[in-house]
Amino acid sequence: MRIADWSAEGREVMGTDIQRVLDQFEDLRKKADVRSCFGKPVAAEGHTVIPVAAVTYAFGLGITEAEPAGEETGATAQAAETEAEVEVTEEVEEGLGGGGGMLVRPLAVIELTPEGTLVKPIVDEQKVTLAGALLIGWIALCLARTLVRIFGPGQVRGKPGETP
Amino acid sequence: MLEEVEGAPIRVGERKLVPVVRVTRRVRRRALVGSDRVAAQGQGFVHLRPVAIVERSAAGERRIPIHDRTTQMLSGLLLAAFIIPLLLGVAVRLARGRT
Repeated sequence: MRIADWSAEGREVMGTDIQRVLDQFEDLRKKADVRSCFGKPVAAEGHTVIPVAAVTYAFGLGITEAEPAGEETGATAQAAETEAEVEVTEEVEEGLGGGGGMLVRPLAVIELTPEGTLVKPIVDEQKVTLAGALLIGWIALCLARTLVRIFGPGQVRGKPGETP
Repeated sequence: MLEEVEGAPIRVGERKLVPVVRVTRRVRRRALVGSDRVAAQGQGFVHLRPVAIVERSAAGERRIPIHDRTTQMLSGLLLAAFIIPLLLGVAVRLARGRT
């Protein structure tokens, strides 16, 4: 059955599903709340602490509706029309998929004291240590290659014109 | 799309803190209507990165920056990973030039 032959209700449902997918993204800028980066203030011993984090989120959604493969034969269509009660069904192949993720990374802590306001950054020591270890290994490899190229057995030394 | 926005102020005692956040967002929507197929898809990406906090009190207004120390340190290590092999290459050329 061609899409043009679908009933008005079928076309309306199809349009609603498609529009719903598109509407998911329309208010994205409203959902990006700035306050989500700052936690609730915690007060203790005259000091107030506010956690600060960087927030990243992403998601995707897709929907498709298509006619099924194959066509009705003329005999089948005529037999359906001669029935006293014809049940019209719309066979539609449809698929829907989506995914998303969110990442929250602590950046700093805002400390409010009677003396003033301080921003204390948070360092991810595990990441920095791992990166430092990789850097040391990389430098060691480069240094070893350098020494082999300078002092290696394949390097011929001597004054020009002399036989080594 | 990249923009810096101020959020709703956070009140703590007599102090008012106004967060300043850099917002990066990218949204894409696409719809396809064919003779036998209708499809729609969309992708969204939002990154919120606090850059500063503005303290407003009786003493006045003060902007306090918020630095991402982890990213700065990782960037420094990455830069060193590029520069050190270049320096070693220069050392090899100089050593070969002398021999």
